[in-house]
Amino acid sequence: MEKGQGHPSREEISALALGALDPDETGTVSRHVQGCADCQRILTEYQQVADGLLLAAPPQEAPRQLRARLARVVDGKPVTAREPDVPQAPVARPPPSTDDLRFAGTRRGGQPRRLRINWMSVGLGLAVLALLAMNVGLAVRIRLLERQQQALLQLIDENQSSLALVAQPGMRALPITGERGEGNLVISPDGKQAILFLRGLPEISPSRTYQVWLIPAEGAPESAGLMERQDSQPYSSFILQSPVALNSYAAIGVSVEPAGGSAAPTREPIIVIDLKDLSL
Amino acid sequence: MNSDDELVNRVALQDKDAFLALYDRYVNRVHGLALRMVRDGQTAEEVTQDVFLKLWSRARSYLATRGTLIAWLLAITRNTALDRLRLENRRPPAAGDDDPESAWDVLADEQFSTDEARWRSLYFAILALPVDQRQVIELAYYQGMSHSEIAGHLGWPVGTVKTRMRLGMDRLRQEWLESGSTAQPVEQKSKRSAADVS
Repeated sequence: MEKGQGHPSREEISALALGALDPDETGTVSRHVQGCADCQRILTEYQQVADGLLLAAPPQEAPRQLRARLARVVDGKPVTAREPDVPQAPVARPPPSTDDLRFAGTRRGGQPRRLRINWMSVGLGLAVLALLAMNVGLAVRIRLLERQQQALLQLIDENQSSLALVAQPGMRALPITGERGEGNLVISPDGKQAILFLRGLPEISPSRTYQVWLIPAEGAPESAGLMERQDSQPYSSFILQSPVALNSYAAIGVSVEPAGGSAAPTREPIIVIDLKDLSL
Repeated sequence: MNSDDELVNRVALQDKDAFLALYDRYVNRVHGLALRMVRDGQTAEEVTQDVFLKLWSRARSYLATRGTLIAWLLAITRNTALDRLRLENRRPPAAGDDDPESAWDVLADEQFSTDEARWRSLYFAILALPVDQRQVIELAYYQGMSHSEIAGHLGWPVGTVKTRMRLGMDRLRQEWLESGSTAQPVEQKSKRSAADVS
């Protein structure tokens, strides 16, 4: 199989497996490989090597304080900037004075004093503590459930909007392939509305967000909004609205930006959808 | 011993003990890859912490049908480390600093499964590559650089970068196939497509 026969070269396929293709090459090569059994087989073999590169890095012992720090985080406890490696030594108590020794534990007249424990008070105290702990636990769970409910309602809302758009007559679907995700771009007949469906979007840090860009042939990319990766669905979706037909732009891009988004892309997009040949 | 799938399901229910069990099982692998990529102890520790925080908060999104937990964790590690490198706009360090024999001595008493032996074999195969081929593969995979970026960094023509990358990958592919990789290195239970996440 040689490049001249319409297939990408082995250089290109091996680079695709490593994620090393230049952005303008990735889409073309990916699209071909998806539809070509021979190239797909070669890519799979190179991808096995790439997987092996992940696993081939030798293990290195992690700092001991990291475990304690993470344990505190998952316990919901505050974490100080630097966790000590060893527990602090207990503070030494001063020795009792001779006076203390003489009078400690004695009744008037020198008789030894018996220690009396009011078990009722102890029991009541423990019960109160247990109730308090339960209440705090319940309050935390309720808050968590409320947040989950809100997220689900928002998801239902977005899905209903997506469904309504997709159901319009004349909608067209453009397949998307990329190194970090695949899916479809469904475009309305007038080209001013579209839904981006993406599968396989990688996990990102909570301090990051996906941002969608409309990229003109000349000039700076325009933000189309922030896209949330949906864990509970096999795909993530994003509704695009544009005052002009989308094919007046050269491409749509998706990049990873700091939480809250950026005024301009701060890094190369991980997905680029070429709109140059899109006819409406 | 609980399986990864059992533990991940419990982590999804916010089971701290299951989380720490997975931490103990995989932290050195995650930290090893992080350190390999960012080459700085403090940053590697932060990347490792980030990865396990993602495990804690996103355990529900792990799909056993797409691969093993360790592969998922290491893919997250790679992406997190790459984000960190790009954020800090860091130049990649010089290659060739590893002492190949001591690299696997950290956990000398770790029992090697068949998979571990294959990965170790691949590790040594990487080190055995000609320096120019190893350099381009490491810059691409561990530093997230494209052909053009590698060419600019090394001062080579793009065509040279492409050729050396392909030659290196072909050698590694050969090594991987010969070391008995007919069983998938990542327990792939479904066919991967061209656009799967690396």
